[in-house]
Amino acid sequence: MPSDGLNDLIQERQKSRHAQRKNQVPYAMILLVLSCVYAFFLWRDGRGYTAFWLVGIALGFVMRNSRFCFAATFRDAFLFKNTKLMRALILSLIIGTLGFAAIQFQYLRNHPGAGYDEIPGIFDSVGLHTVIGAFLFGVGMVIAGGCAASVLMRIGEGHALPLITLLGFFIGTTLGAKDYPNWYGSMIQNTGVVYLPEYMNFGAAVFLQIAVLAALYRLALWFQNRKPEK
Amino acid sequence: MKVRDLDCLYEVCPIPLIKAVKELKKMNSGDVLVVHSDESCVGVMMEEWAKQNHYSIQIEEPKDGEWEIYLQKP
Repeated sequence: MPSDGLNDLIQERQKSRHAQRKNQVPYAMILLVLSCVYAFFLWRDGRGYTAFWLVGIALGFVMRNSRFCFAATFRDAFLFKNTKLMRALILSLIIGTLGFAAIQFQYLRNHPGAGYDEIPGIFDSVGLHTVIGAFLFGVGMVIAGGCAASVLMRIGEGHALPLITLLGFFIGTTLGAKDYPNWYGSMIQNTGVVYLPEYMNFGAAVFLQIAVLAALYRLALWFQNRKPEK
Repeated sequence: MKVRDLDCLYEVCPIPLIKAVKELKKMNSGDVLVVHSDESCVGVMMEEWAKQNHYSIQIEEPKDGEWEIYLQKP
């Protein structure tokens, strides 16, 4: 509970200020109508795009209101001992594991011996390139103030600074696409894909992955609630 | 009760909270720090931080997209 002193200070400061807030509902209405019109045109051209448009808007809404930020997920644990977002990410990985397990199990039962290219999901190799890429991305993410998701969200909120970050994104992805064959030739093609169901029973692999994620969740919770060292 | 203002306008996450933590360390019990920020995430972040560290906190939005975060040291 804030003390009386704090409340008095806030009241005194608010009193001396004129109301500077504008009603933003008309703008929201205009945007709503425009996006509906756009959805209608997309519907005429191809149904799939309407779905993308609506899901995109819904995702943006959820991102904005949940403040889900991948940069903060990894940053806040170290800076402020706050692992709430990290735990949310682990939870979403557990849900993703269950969902993909169901899809892949179904697929593998109908198509025994399917290769990495055919099984639903993306199979990427793990190696030194993952470490280098993650390090570069992590440094850039913290300097830029956010990952792709929060940069796009901020632009929607009306900030101008993330527009520069977005420009950097365009430059970075273009350069990345240009240099990818180099990376692939020198590193990526020599590394292997790790797919747990190849080494053990499918159910055991799913169980192991969820057990590890649950352990990480407990570890993150313990880290946040740990008594500060004095 | 001393009151100090901290201007964090145009600063991106997480710099306002880092600056506030640094500033609060120099202040005495009962003092109030007012952080000015234009990032929507800052208030939410500080609320969590304040709860974790038992600070009193109050968030005001005097202008659209501009927040004042009142933090009182316990």
